[in-house]
Amino acid sequence: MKKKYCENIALSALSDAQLLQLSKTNVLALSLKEMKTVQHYFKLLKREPTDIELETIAQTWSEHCKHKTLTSPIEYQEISGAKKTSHTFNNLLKETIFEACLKLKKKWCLSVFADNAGIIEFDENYGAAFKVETHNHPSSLEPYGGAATGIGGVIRDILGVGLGAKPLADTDVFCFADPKTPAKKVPQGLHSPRRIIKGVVGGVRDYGNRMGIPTVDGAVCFDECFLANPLVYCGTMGLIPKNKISKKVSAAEFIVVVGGRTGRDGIHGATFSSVKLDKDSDVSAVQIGNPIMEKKVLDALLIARDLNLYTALTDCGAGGLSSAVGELASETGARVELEKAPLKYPGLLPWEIWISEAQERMVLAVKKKNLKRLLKIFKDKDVEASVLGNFTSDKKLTLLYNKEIIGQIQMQFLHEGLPKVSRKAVYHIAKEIKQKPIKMSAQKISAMLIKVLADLNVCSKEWIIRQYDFEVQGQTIVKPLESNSIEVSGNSDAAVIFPYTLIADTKKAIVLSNGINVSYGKINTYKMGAAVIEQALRNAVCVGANIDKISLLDNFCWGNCDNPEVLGSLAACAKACFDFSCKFGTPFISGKDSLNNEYSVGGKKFSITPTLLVSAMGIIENINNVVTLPFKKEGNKIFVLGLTRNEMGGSIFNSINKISDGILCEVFADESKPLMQKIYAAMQLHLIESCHDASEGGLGVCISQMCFCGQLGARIDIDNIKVYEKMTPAEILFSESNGRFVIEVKPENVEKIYKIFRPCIFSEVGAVGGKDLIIESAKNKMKIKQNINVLMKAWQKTLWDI
Amino acid sequence: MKKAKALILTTAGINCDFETQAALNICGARSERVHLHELISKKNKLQNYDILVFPGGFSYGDDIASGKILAYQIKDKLKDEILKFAQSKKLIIGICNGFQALVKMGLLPDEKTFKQSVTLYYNDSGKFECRWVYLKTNPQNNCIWTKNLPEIICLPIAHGEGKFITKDEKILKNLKKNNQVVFKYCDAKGDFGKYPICPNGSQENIAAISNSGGNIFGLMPHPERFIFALQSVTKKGFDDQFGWGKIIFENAVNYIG
Amino acid sequence: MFNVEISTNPDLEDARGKAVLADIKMMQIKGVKDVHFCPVYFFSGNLTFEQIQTISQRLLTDAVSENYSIAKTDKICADKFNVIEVYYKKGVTDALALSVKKAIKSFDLDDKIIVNTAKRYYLDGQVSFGALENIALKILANSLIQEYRIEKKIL
Repeated sequence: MKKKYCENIALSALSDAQLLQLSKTNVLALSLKEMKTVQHYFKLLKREPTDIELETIAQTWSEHCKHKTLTSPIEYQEISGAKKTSHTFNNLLKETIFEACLKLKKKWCLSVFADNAGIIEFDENYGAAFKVETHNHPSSLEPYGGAATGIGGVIRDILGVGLGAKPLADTDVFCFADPKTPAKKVPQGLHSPRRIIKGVVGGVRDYGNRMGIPTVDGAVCFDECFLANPLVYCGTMGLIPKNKISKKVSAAEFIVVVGGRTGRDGIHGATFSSVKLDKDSDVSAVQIGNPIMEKKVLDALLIARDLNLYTALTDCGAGGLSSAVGELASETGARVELEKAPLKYPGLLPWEIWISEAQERMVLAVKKKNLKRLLKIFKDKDVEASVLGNFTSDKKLTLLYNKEIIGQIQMQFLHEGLPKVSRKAVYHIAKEIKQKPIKMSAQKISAMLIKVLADLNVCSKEWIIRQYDFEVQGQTIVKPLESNSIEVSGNSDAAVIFPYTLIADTKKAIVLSNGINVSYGKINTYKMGAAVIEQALRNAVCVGANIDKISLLDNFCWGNCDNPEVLGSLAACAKACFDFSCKFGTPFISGKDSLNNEYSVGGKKFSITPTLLVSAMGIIENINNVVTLPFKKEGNKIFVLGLTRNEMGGSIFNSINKISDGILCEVFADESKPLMQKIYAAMQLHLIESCHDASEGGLGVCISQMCFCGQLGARIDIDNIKVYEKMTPAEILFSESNGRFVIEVKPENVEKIYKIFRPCIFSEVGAVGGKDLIIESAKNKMKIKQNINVLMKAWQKTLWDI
Repeated sequence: MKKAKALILTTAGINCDFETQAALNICGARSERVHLHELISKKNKLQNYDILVFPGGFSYGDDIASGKILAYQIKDKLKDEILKFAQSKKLIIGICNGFQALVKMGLLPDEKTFKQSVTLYYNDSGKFECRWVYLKTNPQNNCIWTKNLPEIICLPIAHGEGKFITKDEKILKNLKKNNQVVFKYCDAKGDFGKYPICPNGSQENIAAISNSGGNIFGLMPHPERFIFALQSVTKKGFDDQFGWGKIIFENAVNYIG
Repeated sequence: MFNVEISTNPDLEDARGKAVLADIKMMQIKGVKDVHFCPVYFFSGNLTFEQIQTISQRLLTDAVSENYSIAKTDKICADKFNVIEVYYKKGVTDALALSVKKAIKSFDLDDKIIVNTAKRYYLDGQVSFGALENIALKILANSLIQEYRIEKKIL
């Protein structure tokens, strides 16, 4: 039958090659097996699919929405020298990351891997929700708009979790190439790294600041591999009343779309995000954000939530209405009248309306008795709200345009029809060799310390941070730039949000931190996974989080996973996530992956180094117990907690000195977890004045930062630092072993500290004072002396102005 | 003692309303967040309050220029009501975006003329900045909001358009003559200097002004973000517990009571 | 059709222009001595010159720091400076234009008035067309969502 508002796509007679061609031409991003499954489904129905049906399936089955690579069977083989081991994962995510959470059985996990974000318990009445997303592909094409819609999208994830959480803080982590990359090295069709950096920062700044959500924590990594594929991770944390966590759609409820109008923006964003980029990539995938619209939606939504005017909601993200309605109606069915969607301009085809990724839209399920009041609330806030149809009980998705049925698919097929494809994965464990002993004079070490502090991956990110309103809402207690006086711009390990405006008289606070390391990923993704988990945990513990109540989020950004080696490195990393989530007792509660970060031009392929971001959310029971990084007072004692090993592999020192040998740092959770527990215990007794962990750059960087942030010098005896094996002073200062913290203790509390930390490995190594950092070794007859402001300038100068 | 009633004006893009409400309530007021639409539809509502607050944010996205559309809306729809409120010696404060709106509608520095004579323009640095600043107070000033403050305080700022400029020399001279300059950006010792001591390039480092009556106050820094000591970078305030913003809001509450 | 151009008073620092100048210097494009930034608003529909003047005065211009000029054509005057104008492609949402359209409702105007916006950059100095194009593409506009036009200074 000829239809007026849609086209039939002749699928039944197509050959395999033609099916694949159709998938490519229409940006469906479906594999041959998937196309054949669709062909088969419609053959059984004895008809051809319509354009909108095919689009709906492609959106729903997209990598972005279904994570099909990581949830399908993987035949994994690990090769270490001559030794080979094999393992088959039926569902990698389920058997590693989810499994750890199930195994840990933490009662304070309120919602995990089920909704738009993970939720843990904050106090008796509230849960804390946290989600981190990536927005890489759009940010490489339109850095400003891509990053803005990245942050806008993750805020909507928090708005759409349960019946809606109130967003309290944003986080951002970026991976870029060196802003000074010469123009001739930038591949054709791409923006220069400098323009990408400025655009991405501007996008996050303008969206976050206008939403009134402080951007409080983040990281920036630099590596050549991000030249063609920058990574943009955006996170949002919010609080939600515990009685608003669950949502349920019932038949006959109205489907109401609120917020911005629908346009042609972002068509094919979901399928596009899993397509490898080339210079002719589809450009309509870029969306434009409008933060004030989203702010109005937020304001109206929370009022309607508290009046119980809707029973379920979700955000329009990738796939637009098709995903949002499809997801909400998966258990019921829905009837959608697409002509009722308000449009930015006329001329959109029904299927375009259905899959448009126009920003700032949410979909609600509303009972008839509440509709009038709900519509009034949105009208008062100047936000459009339109009824698009209703939920049904027929378990079918029925799409109409001007009363004509233009599509009808069974929910069962849509959500469970996706064929599983088994993939092969191989992981070669790289052999690590200890580098030749690093012997350096005091003068050389001193100069090297300056170089390490100035390295792009260590230096101050003040230029970026100050463009964000990290104070809005007045709840940012530990800020991204910490110091003892307002003239000094220091740094901090993690952010602490104290939600006193939402929960009057509370003493509790939320800690947000992250761990990421690109150079470890080049050597061993298992060790990288372990290291960044521990780094995120250490950062959270430094400001006062209780290690026994920290939850984690994973974000995998990988290259082309059709390549077994690339997929193998991912599986190895996921295994590390399972192992160390269990060892630390810190469950993953949500996550996201972005695969196929690859760009090809002129026959040359640019792929990223596997990069795992681990974000941590912890709870502080008493805000008065927070600790910050700067040294506080002359005369206080300095302790190094944990053991230093000769682990220079992938270190900043090695990258500066172009040393390729070196052992990559390992995580010893049985050493570091008890340390973290004892740090928390000591903080409850106010025995720790300042705390910082040693990570990129090692102990030298760690102590330097505590000095200049506090505008106080220190005298350190390296001979007293506990080492695992014989090491030179340079190795002790620049090794990046995990599990180490530096703490400052008042002389009168030293005894108590010894009592608490025994039998862990730790030692007193010096004292705070003067205006220089002095590092001495009697054994090596060596004395390094450097003015703290010289150190600070080196650290601040690199990215002073991009 | 009478409990001060404060109206915190919200509209699209205003985003410091919750913390401003919390700050006023902590300082003893009873404050409500009221949307501009509601105020326009119920015009007499405004006079039920003692304090009118224009909070921070990005009203209407700061489209055209910061605070511009809000200023225009108010002048277009609520001119008489606002003037009546201002001239009945009730208290008005504009914080950051609120300050921008107050000067652009002309309520500051002189509500009697109600014409724009000063502005807050793009920062010299060309970008938005969030940082803590020292502010030098003016003991000769009669601003009700800033009594009992020491010579130097600190507060956070977060803005892209905060460069204070007067239309001409005469306006500036009058502001100084009438002691309407309330805060100036300075260093820890109270000396004036360039960026970053003065974060935006303001004329004579001006950060805040009041009307000659002292009841209308506009400032770029955010007093609502420094009510208790832990909110500051240094985690220190006065009496080991409080921030300078508390004194500012308490002044208003006590004046009404 | 009217186009309203807003400019910073000459005795004030044009921070937005200076930021572009810094970017140009960073890219090592030579010849540009200074940059002035001007937002431009286009109005078409049933409007009188007096109405557009009122809108410009009361809504679009800051009385202390800015001036406006109204032109009836969209021709760019390039007798003193090189000019690059950047505007959104058709179909891309111009949020600023929507805001202006909403704000002018109270001027009792015809509802069918169309508002568009652009950013105009006046570049002082001797610069080749190729360099101007480079500036437009690499600094000012993203050709994915924006278009630009260049007027080289008349010699």
